[in-house]
Amino acid sequence: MIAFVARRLSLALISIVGASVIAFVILRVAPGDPARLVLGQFATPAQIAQFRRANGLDLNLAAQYWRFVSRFVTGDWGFSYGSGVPVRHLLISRLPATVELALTAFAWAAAAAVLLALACTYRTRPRLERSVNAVAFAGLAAPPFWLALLALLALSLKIGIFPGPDGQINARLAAFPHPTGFLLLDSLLAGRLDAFASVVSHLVLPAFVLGLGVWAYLYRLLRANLLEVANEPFLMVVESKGIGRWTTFWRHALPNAGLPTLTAAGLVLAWLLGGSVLVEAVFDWPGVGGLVVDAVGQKDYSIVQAFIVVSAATYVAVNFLVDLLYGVVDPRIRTAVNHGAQQ
Amino acid sequence: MTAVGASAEAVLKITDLSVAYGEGPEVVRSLDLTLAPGERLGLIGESGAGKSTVGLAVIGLLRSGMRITSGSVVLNGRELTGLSERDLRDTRGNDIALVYQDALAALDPVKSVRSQLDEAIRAHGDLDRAQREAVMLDAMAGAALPVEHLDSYPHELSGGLRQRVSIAMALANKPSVLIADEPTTALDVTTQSRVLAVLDELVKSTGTALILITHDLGVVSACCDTTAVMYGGRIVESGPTQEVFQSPRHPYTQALVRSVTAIGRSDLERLPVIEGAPPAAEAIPSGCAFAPRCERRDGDPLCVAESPTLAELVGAPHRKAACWHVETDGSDG
Repeated sequence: MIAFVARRLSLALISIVGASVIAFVILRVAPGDPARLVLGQFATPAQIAQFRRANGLDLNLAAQYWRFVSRFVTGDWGFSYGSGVPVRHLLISRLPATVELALTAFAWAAAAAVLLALACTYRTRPRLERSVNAVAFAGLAAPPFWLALLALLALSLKIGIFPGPDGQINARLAAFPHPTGFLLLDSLLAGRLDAFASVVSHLVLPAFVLGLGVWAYLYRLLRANLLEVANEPFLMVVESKGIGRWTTFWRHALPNAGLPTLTAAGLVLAWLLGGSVLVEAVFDWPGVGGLVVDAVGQKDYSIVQAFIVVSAATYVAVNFLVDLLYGVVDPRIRTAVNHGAQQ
Repeated sequence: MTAVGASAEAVLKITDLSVAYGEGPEVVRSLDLTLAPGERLGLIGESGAGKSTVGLAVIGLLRSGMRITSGSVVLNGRELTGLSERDLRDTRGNDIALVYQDALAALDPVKSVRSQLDEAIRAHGDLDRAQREAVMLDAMAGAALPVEHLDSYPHELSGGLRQRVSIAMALANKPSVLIADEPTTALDVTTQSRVLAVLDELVKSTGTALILITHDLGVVSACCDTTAVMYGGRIVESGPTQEVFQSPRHPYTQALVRSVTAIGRSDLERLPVIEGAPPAAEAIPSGCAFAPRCERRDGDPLCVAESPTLAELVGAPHRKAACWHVETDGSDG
């Protein structure tokens, strides 16, 4: 098992390094000069040369890459060319909002996908199945930003049960300490229930919109896999022991059908953690999505680079967890891994 | 041993049971069967005769689309048809249990033997952990399974061991009836006899009545007190195993017994076969289902006109047959 973990970790490291190289090269190859962008049109060649030297832009690519990596691992992620703020601060101040939204969207989407996929397969229920399938189809097809606008129009503007697109919290209630950056947590820690309620009501629409496609995708995948195992004899044997059909499906069909969905869920979660540019833009959500889009437009290399490395690390970490979960769910994988390690 | 039909002390009494596929044809037709406590009954017949369906109907686990259209199933004096799902659940695994035919497919591949065995015990009764452990060890010992396999996963066990786990699981709560649906078909011959010996021993020691569904006459003659032969969704002959095999009365049983090789048989001629094929469920003839393949019928119009009922043989009331050409109490001779 240790050998397995070590192997996976080294592969993970290689993936992250690869991602950083690609991010680095692509941004350098793209046209445009950050020195010109920062200093403006009227900067003298001497000023530009000075800027390039200060930021290491005059070095060759390999040296620039090495400078970037060696500083990155020590926590020096450089400065934003645009604002002069350290990149690490920028990202860390924006990440909690994105993570909060991503986890909420993922949690409801995954829970609903599992429950509805089970409900539609443990017994034949044509009417329920037809309606859920229809919603899932719509959820997959509808672009999230359009859904976001629609939801705002209907539920905020017309009915008014949810707040408008003004970020994570009503600004008047935001005055409490933010030790973790996660407003759900911070408002509770501060004992501010009014602020907590405001955070929740601000979270509902973006989380719903962001999670709908995820839910639809996971539901369809899990339902298909559940239908495949639904006729396995061992399920009938479980029932013959006196176990109810729902429990049989929950305990036995789900772990046997769930591995592909687990993989998909890992990928989707990592994707969500990267931030959704369009949904964040519609809801004025202070997440990393908007930050990165602005940085790309301004050729703010250091932000984009750091973001790509961080999101690659997120992908790798989530998938590593998924790999470990595989072994927890399916003992055959555990055995195969142990045999592999012995060889 | 008690013959089929000793109804006074029956642990399981099936009366006039019919099972149909949707609105379509009946796969089991007006079937009567009685099982005495501790009786070991062999239910034999070709594929498609409806024998597995009988087993699943009795335990209430018919595949979706199949349903009981008429009849009653009384277990320990309690009517099972029409019982709520919750009451059926209490019965399953407790009063009546199942051993599935394919040992390799009968266990959940991702759960340990312990958790699957524990699940069966926990579903019935409020034993604490230590008590359940004791029941588990007992069940393992009964099925001649080494204790260390308790923490094994199905993929780590051979087919024979897996089937013994199934048997241990089915008999853990000492049910009064066990339905074993072709429990050894997926196993090789030596494993087969070992598993059968375990099953036989365990059924005897727990006093569980057994319905052994099989197409293997050798298995039946080795470990069943009584035999019921199914054809076209009905029982065509029943009685004590030795008598049925030694002097079969129904033409189908006779043909079946003839077609089995006997070890030490000296003649090298071809084994007799039953001409034709068993009828598909949607094409069962209106009269006797076996009539089209029957050698004895000899053009008798009665055979295709009316279905003979299963009735006691004249002079041997513990045996029954359903044939117009066998002297029974139900026929005019």
